[in-house]
Amino acid sequence: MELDIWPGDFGLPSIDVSCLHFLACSKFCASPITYVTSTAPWNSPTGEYPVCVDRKGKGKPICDFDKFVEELRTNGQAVVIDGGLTPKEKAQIDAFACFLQQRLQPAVNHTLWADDLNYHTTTHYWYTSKLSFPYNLYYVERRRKRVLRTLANKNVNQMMLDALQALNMLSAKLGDNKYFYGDKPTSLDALVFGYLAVLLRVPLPNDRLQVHLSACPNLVRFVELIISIYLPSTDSKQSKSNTFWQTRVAKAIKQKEASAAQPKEEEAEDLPIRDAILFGLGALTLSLIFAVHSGIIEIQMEEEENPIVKD
Amino acid sequence: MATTSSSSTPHRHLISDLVASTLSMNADSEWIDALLFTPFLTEQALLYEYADCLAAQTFFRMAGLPYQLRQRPNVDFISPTGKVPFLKLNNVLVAEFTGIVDFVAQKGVKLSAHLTEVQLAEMMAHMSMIDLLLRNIEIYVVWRHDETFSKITSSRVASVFHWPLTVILPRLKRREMIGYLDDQDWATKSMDEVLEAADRAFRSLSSQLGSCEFLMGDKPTEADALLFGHLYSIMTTQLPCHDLQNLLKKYNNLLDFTTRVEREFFKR
Repeated sequence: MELDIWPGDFGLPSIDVSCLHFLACSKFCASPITYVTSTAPWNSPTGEYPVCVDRKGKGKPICDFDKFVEELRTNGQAVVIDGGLTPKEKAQIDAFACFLQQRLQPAVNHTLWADDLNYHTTTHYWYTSKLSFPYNLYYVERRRKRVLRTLANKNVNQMMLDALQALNMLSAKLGDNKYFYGDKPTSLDALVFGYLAVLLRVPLPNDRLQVHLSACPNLVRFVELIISIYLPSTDSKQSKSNTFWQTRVAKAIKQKEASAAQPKEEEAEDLPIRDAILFGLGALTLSLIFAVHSGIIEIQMEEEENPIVKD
Repeated sequence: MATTSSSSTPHRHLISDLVASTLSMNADSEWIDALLFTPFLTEQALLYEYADCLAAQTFFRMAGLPYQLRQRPNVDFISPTGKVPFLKLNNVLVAEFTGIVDFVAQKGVKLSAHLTEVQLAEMMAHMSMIDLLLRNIEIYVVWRHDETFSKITSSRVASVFHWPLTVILPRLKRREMIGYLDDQDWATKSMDEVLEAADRAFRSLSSQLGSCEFLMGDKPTEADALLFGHLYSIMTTQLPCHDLQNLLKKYNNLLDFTTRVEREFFKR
């Protein structure tokens, strides 16, 4: 089997939340899947990564996390994921998966795609630099529109509060344990890891969720542990790109602070400039009309008269 | 913020912000004349709307809060979020089940006060499951399933309007709801996949309930109110496709739970 994912950055094997879900889950059960980092999402049936393809030709490509877990469980991997759990624990894993989807996913999507400053500083730049020119603009715009549509009926403050509350609850649920259920990672760990790793590692100027997450030491430890055991980074150029992103984010923060410090002045300056331009244009037109009428500038119609003389 | 500026319904944010800001001021006023506004439950409300209205009523009964039910044809137009049901207390409007629960919690009435933090997380998780998974399943059946739409949904939506709105509105609403399902990656699912998801939801809720009286032990919580609302609606609503009911009938403890809650809170 082959798993197509977005490439990684910032010490993560992939930048995308769902790609991390798939990756972590397959690594947990030591699956012999080959990972292909790819930037051609039009090859996927949904137009999105991740997608799990069976190259030997049997079965449809899998884009759904639940189906992927089911596939891993039934395909006789070395470690059966969620194998040693009681039915009640499995029930809770299903419930917590919905919990994450309802409480955390909107806020993470908002932070990455809907928040203007974050989007322009990081998300938009990252995706457009990975994809080739005309397609990249189409792709990011389409994906952003989709996210905005799903968030359209939600109040941003309520969404953030929900997410902060969800982080607190996950922190309480995890406690001092290594993983959420027992000493082996489960599919729930993969889901939580996906959301939290992106929040922790991707540099963003508006970092309300990130700040709150780093105040939950057990969740941070949980993410670092999974990265170090299952998904160690092999990227050597990382420090170089990190400084690039840090300066980019710092610049964006500075701009945000600057615009927050003097919003009124900008508005006050805005109108006179526009008025001045309009006034200037008006004055120029009037003086031209005056110049033409009073004969300072003469417009000669020689070319039109000549043919008449010839005839 | 980005969503407010680009959203198609900015006024709704404004209203819900206003409601949110007045919440804290009015939260300690007395619980008098609480009115719960719902659509006409027997003729108009759709499966998931009925479930939410019932869940809100169950919650009030469990918490021992007196309320009066008002059925109106245009509740979704009055509601601050466009969703039913909503609660009117003095001059405050609070919409949807979770909103009502949060509002009542701010007044100091909480059914889940006895739970530890971990149990609270589990309760919230199961509420998310009902609210997200079960509701998407219900929305799918009501709007996406062709026979259900043509036989039940369109006539119920049209029931409070006159011609030509009876023809136009159900279609518009259907397009909107299928768009919603599409954004959740649900519109392309087949009926079998939806039923599989439903089975997973029921199985999960059933094993959480176990042999206990309620989801979180022997005391009712908000999650029980929500669960009862949805299960009772699924059991009692007559739909052309019986698959959902048949699935639910496999889980005896969920059925017992439904009859128990009905007996304890609605038939006294």
